[in-house]
Amino acid sequence: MKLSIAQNELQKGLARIQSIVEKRNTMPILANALIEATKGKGKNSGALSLAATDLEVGIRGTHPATVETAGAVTASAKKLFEIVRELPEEPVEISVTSNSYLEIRCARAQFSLAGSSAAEYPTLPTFSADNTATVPSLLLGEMIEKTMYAACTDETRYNLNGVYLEILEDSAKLRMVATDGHRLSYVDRALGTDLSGLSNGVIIPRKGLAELKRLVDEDDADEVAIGFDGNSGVACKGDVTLFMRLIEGEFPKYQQVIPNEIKSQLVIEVAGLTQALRRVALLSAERSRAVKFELTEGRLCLSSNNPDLGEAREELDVDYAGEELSIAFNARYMLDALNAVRAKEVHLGFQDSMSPARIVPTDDDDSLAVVMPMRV
Amino acid sequence: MKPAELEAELASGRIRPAYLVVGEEPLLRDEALEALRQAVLDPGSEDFNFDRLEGESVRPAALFDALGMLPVMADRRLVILREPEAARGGGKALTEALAEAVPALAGGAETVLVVAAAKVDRRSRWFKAFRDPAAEVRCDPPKPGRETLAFVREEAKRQGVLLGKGAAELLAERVGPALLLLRREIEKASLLTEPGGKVTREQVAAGTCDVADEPIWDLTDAIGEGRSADALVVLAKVLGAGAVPPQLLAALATHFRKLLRMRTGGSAPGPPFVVKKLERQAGRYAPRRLRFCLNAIHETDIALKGAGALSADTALERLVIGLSS
Repeated sequence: MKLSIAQNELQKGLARIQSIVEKRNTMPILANALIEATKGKGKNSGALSLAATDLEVGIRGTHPATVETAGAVTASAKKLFEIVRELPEEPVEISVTSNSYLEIRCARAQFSLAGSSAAEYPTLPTFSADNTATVPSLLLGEMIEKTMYAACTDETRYNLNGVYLEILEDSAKLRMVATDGHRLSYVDRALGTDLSGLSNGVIIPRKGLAELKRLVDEDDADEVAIGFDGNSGVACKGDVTLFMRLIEGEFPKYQQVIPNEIKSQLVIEVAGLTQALRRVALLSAERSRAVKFELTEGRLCLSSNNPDLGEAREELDVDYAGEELSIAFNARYMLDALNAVRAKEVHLGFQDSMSPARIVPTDDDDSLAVVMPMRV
Repeated sequence: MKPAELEAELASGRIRPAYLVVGEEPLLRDEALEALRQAVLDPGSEDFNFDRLEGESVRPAALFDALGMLPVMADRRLVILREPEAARGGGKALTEALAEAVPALAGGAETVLVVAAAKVDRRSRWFKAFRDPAAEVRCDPPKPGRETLAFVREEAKRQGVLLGKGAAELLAERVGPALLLLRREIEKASLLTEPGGKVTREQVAAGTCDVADEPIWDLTDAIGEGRSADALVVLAKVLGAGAVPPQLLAALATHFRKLLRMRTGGSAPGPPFVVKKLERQAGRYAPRRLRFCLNAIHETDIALKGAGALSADTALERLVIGLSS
């Protein structure tokens, strides 16, 4: 294998795979990047493919390069990135010796990095383009942002360890839902594309979703093709393909915990509520972070009590004329939900003091957060 | 209470605010947890009313958060905390939090806390906090012999496996009181026969490895009772399980000193059945022979320390034959 590639292109490709490579060292080969050079049809044309996987999530990016001899090798993804990051912005020449060492030359710098045979690297899955749908990157990124915070981090509850994705057949919208049992968030979006090719009701794991978010946040393409087949998911954006193993499990019947009979509702400015909540939470009990919400006519009173430190209380003027209500929440869950809705104002709705609260942005009926209450 | 008593209590509709599931038998612990899970949680809403915390990594705040949440679309929540003393330093912060949290559960009916552990420090404050509102479910392994055999028969019945004459006894003997392993071995044995057929002792003998731990007194008893062949089999198993030769020699020397004391009119401390067994064994030897046996043990000890040409295993085999014949 012998090629030449622009330093910034190589650095970009290696940076992208850093979060994928396996850090726990359970299989040493997974700490490596798979480097494959293929020759193009024209003279001095070709491509360098950089891939990494931890067997749950995998990514492959293809970059333009001048390939003299095609070939493949694997080498430490971290060390290669550290080397390339320090190189000047000049063409980088890479060749592989017969004992799988990578010879890297750039300007007057020269490195010889130990590699290993590409045959030892796990095969990345292939995916048919028939089962994909093209969706706007921006919308997909927003949906992930609004839901991922609520996904469960406890690995023993695998069916909650990701975001559930379903197609709402009556409105042709895509819905993403996540819950850890203490809070829930969903968002519906009409993506303006044909979603019929997508499998319905899949759970995308948190790590795969974080990589997907990173991919859609890159600013070089407006659309991303997503697809699911069996227990695999794929996202393609330009020359980058992300693979992920989907979670096999049954997502809970989440609709039943979304309060429908809202008896007390108010419209409140998110910034004001968030700031007050942060202040009051400073003296909440360290163990539970419970903050009490007391609603009376025209007023929302937030209070906390820590037996070791003291008490905090703050009143907010609100447009509320319903029944008096007292309910407590974990301040962190409420702040996460308010932060994720990314709205100026929200409808804050309550059924009673023992039922979950519903948070709906005033300008977006298609997204919603639910926070379960705590014992006062 | 025993797991069966827990199941009966849950079936009667009684659910306590806290349970302590303690014992070294993982199968019994898992079954008790599953019974509690089924009794406490409503199907359909269980993902929203269940928290499982691992003592090794969970912080006290997460425990209080889990215990403080109200049930959603159900009457109760279930919080399972496993191995609260597993964190570094005995999980002091977590166990202190438990000691504080458990009494507070007594008044409420919405949250059920279950703490599961293989071993606990019974002197600790958190353990004592469980006394009042909670029930302790003991999940100790059955004793080798009759209790293990009873489990084998019960489990075979549950799995619908017919065991032929001597098959249950051999399974219990070869696997010992490891219930999960026994369950798997019964499943495996059922595959060796046609549907509805009986699993024979020969099939168990061919398909089940001998993995049960052999206590050292099985060796001393086989020698003392003159069962040379059994003694050699037990010796091989004990050595195979990792016992070190000096440890075996010490056990043999102690045993033969006891026999000599009893044979010369003295007594040996112990429960009546042990004393009776020792008297029976001492009756097989003349005092002079017992002194000879002690001398042989001493010589083997010297040989094992480098004076002899035989390997440790061979030297021990020769000694066992000499002592038991």
